[in-house]
Amino acid sequence: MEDFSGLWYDCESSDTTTSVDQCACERDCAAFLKPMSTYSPEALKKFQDGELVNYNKEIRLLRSLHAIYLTNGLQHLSGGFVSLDASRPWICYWIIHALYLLNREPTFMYPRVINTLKFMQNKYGGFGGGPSQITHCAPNYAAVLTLCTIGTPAALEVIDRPAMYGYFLSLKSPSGGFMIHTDGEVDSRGTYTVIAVARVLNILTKELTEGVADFVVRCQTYEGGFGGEPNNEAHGGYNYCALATLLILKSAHLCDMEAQENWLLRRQVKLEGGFQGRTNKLVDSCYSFWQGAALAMCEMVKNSDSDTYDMEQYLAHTACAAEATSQDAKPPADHISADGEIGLDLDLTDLVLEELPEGQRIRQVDDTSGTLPFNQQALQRYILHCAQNLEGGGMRDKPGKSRDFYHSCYALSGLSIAQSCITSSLKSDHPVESAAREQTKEEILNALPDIELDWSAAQVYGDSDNLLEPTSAVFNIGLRRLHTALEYFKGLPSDHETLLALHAAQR
Amino acid sequence: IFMAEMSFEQLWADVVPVPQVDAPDAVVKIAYSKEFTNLMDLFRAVQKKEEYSERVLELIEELLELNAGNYTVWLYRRNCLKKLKLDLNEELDYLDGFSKENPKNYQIWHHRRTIVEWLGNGDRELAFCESVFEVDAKNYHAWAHRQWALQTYNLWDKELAFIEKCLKTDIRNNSAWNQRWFYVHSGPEAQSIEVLNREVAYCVDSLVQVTLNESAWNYLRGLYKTHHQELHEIIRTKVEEMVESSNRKNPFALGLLADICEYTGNQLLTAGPNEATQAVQELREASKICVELVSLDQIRAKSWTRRVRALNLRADSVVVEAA
Repeated sequence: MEDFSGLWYDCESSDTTTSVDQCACERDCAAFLKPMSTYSPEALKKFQDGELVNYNKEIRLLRSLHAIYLTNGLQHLSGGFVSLDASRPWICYWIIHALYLLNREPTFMYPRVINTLKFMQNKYGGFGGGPSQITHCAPNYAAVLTLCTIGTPAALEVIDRPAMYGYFLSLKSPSGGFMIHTDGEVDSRGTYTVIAVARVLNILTKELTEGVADFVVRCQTYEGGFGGEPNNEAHGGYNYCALATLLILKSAHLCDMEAQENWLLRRQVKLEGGFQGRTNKLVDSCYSFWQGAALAMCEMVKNSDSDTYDMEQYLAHTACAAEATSQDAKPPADHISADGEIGLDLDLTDLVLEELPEGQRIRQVDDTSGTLPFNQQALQRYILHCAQNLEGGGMRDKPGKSRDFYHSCYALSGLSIAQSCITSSLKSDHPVESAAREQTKEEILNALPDIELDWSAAQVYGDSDNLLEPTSAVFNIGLRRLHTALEYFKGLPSDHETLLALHAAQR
Repeated sequence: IFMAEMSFEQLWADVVPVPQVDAPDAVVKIAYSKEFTNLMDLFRAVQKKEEYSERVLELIEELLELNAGNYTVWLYRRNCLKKLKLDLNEELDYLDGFSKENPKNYQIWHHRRTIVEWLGNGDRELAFCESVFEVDAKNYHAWAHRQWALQTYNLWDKELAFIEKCLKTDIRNNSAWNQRWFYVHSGPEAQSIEVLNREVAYCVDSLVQVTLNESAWNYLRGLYKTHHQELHEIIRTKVEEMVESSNRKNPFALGLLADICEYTGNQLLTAGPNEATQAVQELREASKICVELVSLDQIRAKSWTRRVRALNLRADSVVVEAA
């Protein structure tokens, strides 16, 4: 792999803008993808001093540097950010989710974050991009996910569910999709932001979901991916939104999942190892998540009709593993009392993957390791080698581009997915129910080989400390925080009439 | 003219600015310029008193210069335009200019769509999209907008020629291929066998020159899956030819052939026990090809391997049944 032979783009003596751009991108990325062993000892020493590489010549995620960049952004943003003045909840979400993945949450700032978002919520329902801005489903999604990531009752109780429900209803379009704000455009993105939030908040009623799956299915193109509106080109961002929506609605079987998965697999670019958003376009680190998580969802669908299958597997497994090794496992730090006594009241759902014994925890990857259908090693390699911004931290699209909070969030989310271990059990254990299909024919046609179940170990490329917190493929918040949020909202009133009545009573 | 003679401050002297009310000690605070703060304070005041006027329009233009992403301001602009009953073609002129610097801004595109709807005619839209393509031939918003205008105002007349021009410029432009599919399946032509054969020929022709163009391969696969009845034989023949002429080295050709074999095998499986042997043959052929792809298309080695196993399992289970 050292000279990338066989991987360079072949323009076949017919250069076009596409091939010229692709070749330039490959050259830029190849410079960063050279294995550490090909560098001179002097260059290696420099990397090691800068902590980019460890003493086994393995690449490191610059955790602390990224954390500094992100935490500073939470506190001050320069005047140039005025172009994101209608997206401040997004900035919160990108930063806080990224810090969560890095296990560097700025807990000390959470009360301020909660309060900041409070001022962006409108009485008629939903959050806007800033105070005095009308509700918009994208910053609304970001605000809700941020509060769920914070996860305390103080954060979760900020959300005015009944009002948000009423507002969502007003955005429903006859086409089945949702407008992204009053009088706004209808596409798979707006639809996802509504359905995902409604799902987490437990306000996903029939009135809301009517016709949605049918609209989304119409957005699948001949290429197998989904676009923003019917007939629009298949595109990673919209594709993610469409697939996640279908999963939440337990309607993935209504689309051509085989075509979807095959389109997704072809989006991984062979030299760079990352994902492109569309056919014949360039790799971009944000697609590490949009495409990578979509492939994780494809895997989930094969095993279950649950949109939280990854979360369920994770919780079940960390509980099991803790039980099995409770004699050896280090209990969570906050169970150690002041005089060093180790508490026995282990709350298993708090047990972090990191606290399991080393040998059980992490496996080093190769090209075919991991239970997700794509090359998990190559994706991690792209993110760590090409997407890290070395000066001051943060993540970027590709070499030559500037860092930003959006790419920091999604490159790290993609890294987390690529490291993940959460899917795929033996097919026979989890038959996927579907009324639309006949048994015998489908049993033959869909017989899958036994896939080795080894989801106790994350797949980590480079330094084993590169392991991130796991994230939900469908919602992109931490699995434990997703669990907390779902539990919190589960007990609240969730039927159409009650929600409307509650909202009316408030006004 | 009257307004130009007054200074900005004089013009707005009657309005009490409304400051932004952020949480005390808010996070993600942006260091706004004084100019931006003043303009937003005036806008909030205007919103409060629900004023719709020429000066508000000018205020909004200044604000959008500084932040074209403020959808609240855009909505307010639309309300102004409605109330003042202004010339919507002039608004399109304004938008034309804006899009040059902000070709990927959602709000501008949505605003444009609304204005065009109010105008009730899309005469300017194809030319406008074309001007955007000159800078970025794959601009997603522009292609989506073009599709919308074509369908809403029935502007199909010269679209195929336009698509072919785009493809001549860059045969790898996937947006143009997607547009071609849209034209053939949602446009004025019926999908007659002549049209379908023409599409296959166009695809195959382009692949002679650029054999590794995934856009063309995806289009060909789409034609196969959607028009299987009419096109199965011709496409299979062409793909087998391209597999051979590439010495079994073209991963796209091989991949499509594997799909065709698998699809054929599955169809035969549902046909009945007489076809079982042939079905197995097709599945095994598909499996063989996937084995080749494990080395030829290494980035996808894992999924090709899984596919080999799945195909083998399926082929094996059929034989077991027949015995």
